[in-house]
Amino acid sequence: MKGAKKQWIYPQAVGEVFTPNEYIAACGDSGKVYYFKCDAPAGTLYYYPTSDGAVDGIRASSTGAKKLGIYHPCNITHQAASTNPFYDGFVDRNGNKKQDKGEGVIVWRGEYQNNGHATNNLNMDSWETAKS
Amino acid sequence: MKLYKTNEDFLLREIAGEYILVPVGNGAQQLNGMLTLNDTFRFVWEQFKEARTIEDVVKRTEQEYDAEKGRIEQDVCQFVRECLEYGFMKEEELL
Repeated sequence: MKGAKKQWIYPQAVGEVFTPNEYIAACGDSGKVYYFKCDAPAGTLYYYPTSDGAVDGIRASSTGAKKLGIYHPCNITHQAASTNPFYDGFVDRNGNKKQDKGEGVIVWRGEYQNNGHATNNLNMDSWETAKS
Repeated sequence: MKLYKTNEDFLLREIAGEYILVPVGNGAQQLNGMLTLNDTFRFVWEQFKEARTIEDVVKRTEQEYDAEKGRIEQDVCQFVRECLEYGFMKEEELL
C-alpha cells in the first residue's frame, strides 16, 4: 500500500566549489546564537568569501563574488552560532551576474559550510538572538 | 512535443545520506565542484534520467508529493528552464 505523499518544496541545489576555504569569522560572543530566517527572494545566490570589513549585504562592486547556485528560500528560522561566518552576498534575480540595487543579502552557509541560506534583513543588530 | 533529459556529464550520488550531483567529463569544465540537492530536486532529476515531457514528469511528481494546485507544474517548468540554462539538462525533439 502506497504511503502518504510527501510535502512538496521547490527543488533546490546548492553548489560547493572546490577551492581553498577562505572566510573571515564574524566576531561574536561565544554561546550566543542568531535566529537566521532564510527568506531572501529566489534567484542565483552569490557570496563574497572575503570581507570588506562589514557584514551588511552592501558592496561597491561584484568583484570577488562566488556563485553558490540556484537558490530558493527554505523560510526556516535557523539557529546560527554567532561564531559562524556570515558573508555579504547577493541573489541575482535578473540574470546579469552582478549585484544590483536591492539584491544584497547576508549569507549563512550552515553549520558545516556546505549550504546556502540568505536573508535580505541586512541589519545584523536587529536579528533576534539567544544564549545557546 | 519536446522531451528533456538530464546531462550524462552530471552523476547523481548518495553520500552520507545526502544527494549530490557530481560533474564528470565535460560537466567538470562547467562546474568545478558539486551540488547538494534537496529531496524534490533529486526526485525530479531521476524522472528526467529518461527523456520525458514536462507533462509526464509533473504527473509522476504529483503522485509522490502534495502541493497546492498548479504549484508542481509551475516549479517543474522553472526547474527545467534553470537546468537548461546551466547545462544540467538537454532538450530533445520527439520525432
